[in-house]
Amino acid sequence: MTIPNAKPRAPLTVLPYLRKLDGGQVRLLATQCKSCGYHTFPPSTVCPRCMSLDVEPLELSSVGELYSYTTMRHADGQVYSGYVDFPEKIRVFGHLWSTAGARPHCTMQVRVVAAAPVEGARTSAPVDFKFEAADDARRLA
Amino acid sequence: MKRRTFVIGTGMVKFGRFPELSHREFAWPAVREAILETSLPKERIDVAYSASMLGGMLMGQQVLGKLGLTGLPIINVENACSSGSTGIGEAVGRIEAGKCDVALVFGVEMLSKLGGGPLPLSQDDWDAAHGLTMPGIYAMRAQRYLYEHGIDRSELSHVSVKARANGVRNPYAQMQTAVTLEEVEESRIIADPLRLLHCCPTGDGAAALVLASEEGVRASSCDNPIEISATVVHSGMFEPGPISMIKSHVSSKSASEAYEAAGIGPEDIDVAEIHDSFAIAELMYYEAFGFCRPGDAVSLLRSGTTSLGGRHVVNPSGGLMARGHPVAATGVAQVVEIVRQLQGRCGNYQVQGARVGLAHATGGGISGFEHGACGVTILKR
Repeated sequence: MTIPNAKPRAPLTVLPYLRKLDGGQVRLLATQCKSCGYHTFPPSTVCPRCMSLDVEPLELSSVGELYSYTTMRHADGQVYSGYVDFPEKIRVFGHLWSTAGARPHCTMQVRVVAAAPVEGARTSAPVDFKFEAADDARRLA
Repeated sequence: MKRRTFVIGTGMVKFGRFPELSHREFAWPAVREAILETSLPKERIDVAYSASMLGGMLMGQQVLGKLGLTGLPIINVENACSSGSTGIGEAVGRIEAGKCDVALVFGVEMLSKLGGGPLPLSQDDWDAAHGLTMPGIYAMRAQRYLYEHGIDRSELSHVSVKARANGVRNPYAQMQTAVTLEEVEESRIIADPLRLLHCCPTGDGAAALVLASEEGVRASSCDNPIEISATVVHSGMFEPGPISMIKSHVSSKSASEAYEAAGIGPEDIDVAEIHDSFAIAELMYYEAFGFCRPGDAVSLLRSGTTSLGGRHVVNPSGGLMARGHPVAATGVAQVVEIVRQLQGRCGNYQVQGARVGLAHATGGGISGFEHGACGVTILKR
């Protein structure tokens, strides 16, 4: 349905940033420059190092390291969120789990998983992925 | 050879929340005060720089129209928290190059008009669209700083106590009441580990400076001009990969360039107004400016060195946490404070015998950048 007088909104990226795999798994997509090899995220049609337009998607590893974290309001509750560093030398900001769960810690390993966008959330992005503890025994939320 | 630049006029209004006033009604008294302080006819002003982030178009014309200061080049500047510093840097460059003799720089921001809550960031930005705010960014810096240096989170609260104690003495400060460690520790969590009293307030402010070449100084009535020994503006670097969030590269780089240009080092700074937008920021920037080694900021703070009466007084005005942080006004307000310190005009928050001062405004939350921009200015009497 079209909302009358709604302001046009541009998507955050013009290239896809999430790839869905068989079995419900997801991976984040960065871009890699075919000219100079530089990686960037969010994926971009131009290389921020050499300005080449010859770029290709780069699938990030499933697991990264939590650099730091904080808490924020999302939907009706509080969630942890943080910066996750991937082996491909890319840092991604994303949501972790509800603050009702265990406190995360710097350098812990986290895995990217699919998330259902929340209606009435406080974010303009769909937040269709999040991070969970990579150690299944510590999986929360 | 570059021409020298001096501050010959300062103006500032009390910071606080004044939603009943328009930007132009709120800001003109600061500009008028700065001009009157020089005794120069307003027609002697060659150029005006107006800094504002959220005020809307043509802020310079809006405010200067009130004072009939029009027809000259009015240049409107936006560079987030460094907007005011950027205006100063551009004005100094114009004077140094011999393109003008007298320049006005002012900054105004009225965050009360937004209602409340954190600064609105661009929703085209990955981090902001996923809910990250300025308190959230500094909270992550704090979390990592505590982790890397093995420091207890309660240490952050000493920064707030010092800032608010100074604010009590500053008639221009938004927050003029002291807080205790317990009050800071018991205030509500904004973005873990930062609590409400670890954050600068949102509010309104306006400040103005008149800068002049030696010729401009001679034409004015100013008998104690304060020289701008160095002013440096940089943008942060775009870096999509892992970088330290607890070492500010852009602040360190700007600081070392400013020290070199002024021919001084951190040991020479008697008084500094640095960007303590959140409690962790003051600690990080002690390190960026070389006031102490990485990890020693808490010890430096607790030693009293940076408190009123100490050897290197940081944020005697109360800083962003007590004077307030009306974004684009901050960089100008900091220089007003430093100039008045070096002129011995700061009453019961005067740093005795201050001869060399430093102002630092940095910020702007944008994905992939450590900071959007940074401005550092060194002043000498």
